[in-house]
Amino acid sequence: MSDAELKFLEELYRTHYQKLFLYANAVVKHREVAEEAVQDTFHIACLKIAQLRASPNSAGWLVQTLKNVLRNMERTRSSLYSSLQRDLPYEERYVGSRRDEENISLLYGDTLTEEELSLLQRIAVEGCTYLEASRELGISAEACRKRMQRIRDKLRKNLTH
Amino acid sequence: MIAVKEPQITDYKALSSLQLEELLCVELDHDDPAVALAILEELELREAAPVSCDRAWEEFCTHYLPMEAPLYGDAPPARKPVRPFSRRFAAAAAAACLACVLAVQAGGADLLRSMIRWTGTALIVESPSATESSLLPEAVDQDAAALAAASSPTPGVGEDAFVTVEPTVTECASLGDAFALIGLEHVPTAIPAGYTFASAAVEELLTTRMLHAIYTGPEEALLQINIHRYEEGSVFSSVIPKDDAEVESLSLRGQTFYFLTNGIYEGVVWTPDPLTECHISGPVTRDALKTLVRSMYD
Repeated sequence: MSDAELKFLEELYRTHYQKLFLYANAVVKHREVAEEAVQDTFHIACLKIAQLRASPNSAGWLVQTLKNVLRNMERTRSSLYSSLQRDLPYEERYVGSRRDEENISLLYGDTLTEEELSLLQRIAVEGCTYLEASRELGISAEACRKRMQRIRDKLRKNLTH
Repeated sequence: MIAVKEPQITDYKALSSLQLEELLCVELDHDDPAVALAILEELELREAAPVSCDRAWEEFCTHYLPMEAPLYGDAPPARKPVRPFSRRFAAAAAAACLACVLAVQAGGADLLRSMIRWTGTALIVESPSATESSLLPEAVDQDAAALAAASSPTPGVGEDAFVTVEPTVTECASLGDAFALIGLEHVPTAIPAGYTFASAAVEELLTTRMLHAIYTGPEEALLQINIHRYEEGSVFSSVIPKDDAEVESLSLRGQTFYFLTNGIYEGVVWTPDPLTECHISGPVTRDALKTLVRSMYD
């Protein structure tokens, strides 16, 4: 991004962050998730900066993008947790114990590394956001997302063969 | 349920904050942002403790914005400015430039195709446009690119309805079938001894096609083949972790392959065209990988 684009983005960010946060928080009712949704929205704004600059209604553009992010986010998180539950081979000795179903190190320890298990636990089971996880790990949110995608690929491949 | 009317400030002022938040949830499925914006402006006025924008912006810059320096390790050596040569040395200069392009360089780059460069801890593959703007150190892959394409409003149309993004996945019976499906020739055939075909699939998203193939070997070792093909105009940047061993290049039939190591894993990366990146890695020997890539042209 050029300096001019960065300056444009920062101005928009400071002008609209509060509004977008209020919207996200009203929908997800979770401060950390709301923050992540807003950051994701501005992340998309970075990727589409030329389009955003050309838009006659940049505030409207941001709001619509946030709406899409919120819907996508909810579906992704639900899907991730559902697929963990659905694809889980049901171990007899854990029947009746939901807590044991969530002991993913016991269940996926042969498939995932310690680092991957830890990330999966934080995001899929404990409901941590990518932003929170990226802070903990000291990596970008995008790196966090990619790691989760690789974990999902691994689980899908290993549990269906 | 409160009926949504044309935005009138007096209407929203009469509603409680909780009612306004309920309206926002209803607005999530509507295409017009004007109502949401009017509600948000009212809510913002009522907000007793505004969110710290400075902290949020700082966090955005740290965790989301592209970084000027590579994400991992030291920055690659800066390219020296090209000095003009007199005609007298033009031929020698051109030959020297071509040699530099093809030779192994510390922190070098595949200048003729996508940009491949490396540091002490990562090999980075970037689209030509990414090298100009250095958008993100990570690949703008299905998550970001598809989300951006699906989530941002279409210019000129205004506020688009939400677009569902789901990959189309095609399982393939062989690596050859997967290569054919993704549109690539030169299928590697000399799979390292002890490894057998496990799976191959091609995933298609809005702007990306991806091939994932797995061969399983002794003690459940995995040899993985990953290929990403992007659409024209895409900007991508992939970071492949490596250790500090020297990157080795091998040229075959005009294609340069870059071999890297990450602990016990050997890997090879190449870009058959500016919008395609290919990566094979596994706990195999460097020689086995070289035999594998050579078999692509047998």
